[in-house]
Amino acid sequence: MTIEVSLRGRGRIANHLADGVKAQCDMLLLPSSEPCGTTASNSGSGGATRVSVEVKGLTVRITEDGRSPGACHEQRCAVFTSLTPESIRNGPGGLFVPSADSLSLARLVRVVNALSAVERVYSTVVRRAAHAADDAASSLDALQPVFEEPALEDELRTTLAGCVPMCQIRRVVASYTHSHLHMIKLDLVDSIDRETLIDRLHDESRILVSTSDDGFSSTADIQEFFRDLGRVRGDRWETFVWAESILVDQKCVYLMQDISPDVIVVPEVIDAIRLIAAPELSLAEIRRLTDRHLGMLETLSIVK
Amino acid sequence: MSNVRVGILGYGVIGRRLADAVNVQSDMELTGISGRSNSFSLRDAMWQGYDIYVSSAIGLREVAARLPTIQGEFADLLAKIDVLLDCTPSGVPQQHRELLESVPNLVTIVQGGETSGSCEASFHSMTNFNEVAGEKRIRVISCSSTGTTRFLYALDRAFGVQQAFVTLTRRSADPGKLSKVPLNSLVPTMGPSHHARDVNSVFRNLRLASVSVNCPTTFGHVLHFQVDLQGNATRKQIIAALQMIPRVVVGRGIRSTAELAERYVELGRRRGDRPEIYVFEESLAVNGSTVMAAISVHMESITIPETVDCIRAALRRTDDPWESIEKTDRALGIWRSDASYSGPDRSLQNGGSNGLNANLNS
Repeated sequence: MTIEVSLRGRGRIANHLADGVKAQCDMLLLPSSEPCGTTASNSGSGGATRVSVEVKGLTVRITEDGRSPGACHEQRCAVFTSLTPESIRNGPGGLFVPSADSLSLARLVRVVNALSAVERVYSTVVRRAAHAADDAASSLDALQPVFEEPALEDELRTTLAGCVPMCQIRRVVASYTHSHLHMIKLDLVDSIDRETLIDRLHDESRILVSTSDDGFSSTADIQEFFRDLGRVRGDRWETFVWAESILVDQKCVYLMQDISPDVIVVPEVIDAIRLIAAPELSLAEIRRLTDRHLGMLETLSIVK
Repeated sequence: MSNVRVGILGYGVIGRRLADAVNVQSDMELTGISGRSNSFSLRDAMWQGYDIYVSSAIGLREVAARLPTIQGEFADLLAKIDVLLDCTPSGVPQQHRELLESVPNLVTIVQGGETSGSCEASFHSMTNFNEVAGEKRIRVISCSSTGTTRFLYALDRAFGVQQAFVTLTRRSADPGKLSKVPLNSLVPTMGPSHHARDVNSVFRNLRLASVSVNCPTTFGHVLHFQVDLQGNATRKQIIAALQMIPRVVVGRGIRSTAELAERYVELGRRRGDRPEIYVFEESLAVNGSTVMAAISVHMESITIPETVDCIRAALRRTDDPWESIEKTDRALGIWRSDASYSGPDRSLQNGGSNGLNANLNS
């Protein structure tokens, strides 16, 4: 069955989403003139289900088409990340995929939570000043700490609600264009083994673990590798974690991860589309389908 | 008591600032500067009127050959001084070690680029002043480590610190220098950065973790702290605790390291220097007993006051760190009337974390 996707919103995230949807064999991206909520429920052409995807700022809302436009309001959407249990299918107003930084922390917490409950997450995010093609809002040569981001903190709390009681995030803008780099500390209930954590991160889809020995000593190395890979726009949907950065000290875990902020939301949005439109598929099957169609990498290691 | 005679080896970013700092101390005299004969830094030192001693043979067309006056060689300088401030690049001080150790009674102070193992002791004015008394080879901890120590000392003194996590977003090169990182990239330090270890060498029993990433910028570092105190505190109390510590400035209205650099240029500071740490007041957040804050460290100048104090500590010119800190700050023009130049319990001056509560509620 084909899922018809109506995509609203402009900008880079919308462009990357469009590419991601087009890569799915069971999805059809409708022309951009198709507005949200104008057709009767579940009445896509030829038996297809129609889903609306709305990009608003840095976040994405996914609803089954036919619902009232008011249902697209974020407060009536359930947050959707890799932490979301299957029971959340089709929340009251649809699904809401948070912004890149929150989403990436959810991916990480999913792995760590399986080893030990997480009491607190803290991240300092070194954020790019602008995309390479945009005018930078900050100085050419400066570090700019961001003082107050209550919306981001609220979003992070909502994203990790039910899993992590306390979340703290701080950002600093650097004169640089590629990505966001997180310096993370996790306080756990129980101590865990570092090698076990690394193995679990290796096994997790959408997280790639590698080292400077494998040629990834800087974010530029990561950027160039994915440009070279042949993906459209050099997209990197996966989180990158430096293995050498992973430290375990009693009940604290420290690590660094790098994310591509325009692109990282794509897999989770596609998952959300299927979650709404394909009730016969389990969440695990949905993730596998998304990863396969996007061509998600499983490993970056040169030597297995 | 006669003035301490000080020599400086290496007139680079730190060396020239130390030269100026020593020159204005009433109990010290700058005997001379030594550097490699092919370095234009000798020309710079000559412009300031300092006596020059070359540390390498003079080649025909080298800078030293073109200077009007040279007072002698490095060994000549060593014979005339009590303390050598070795400001050569990381790894170079080890090359001179044998020569320096052969000079009787000479105290050598190196900068934080050297490992703690290469010296008898590490130093920070506020946390372990008296530990270096009588030592012959001392390391002043690095710029970010100095800044981290000051910040955590302030909180520990007032509230007690249970544990702390510091993330360092660091400049990749000093202004005018070649960058060690690509133009458009972030380069993480793999594994824990050296800062926690450095701080613990002068501030023991403090549970601290540090990670660091280098960024393509030049004006200064930004450090983010997540600190768990031993008890709850209000934001107002935190600010008060920070403001009472010398060499810590809590400010508002500045949004970036570039703006901060400009502000200190406008203030008339020589070279726009800022030996104080700058705490971005707007970044201060308190959640129960957890404090989060961002500070900026000016890597070119932050260790200057501590190095001056180290001279007095090593030569036992005083056993009161706050007397030295005040003297240094007055001479450098960074003394503040609203800071406290009397310390807490003197037993805390031997490198331990205290967990005392100062009376900040008044």
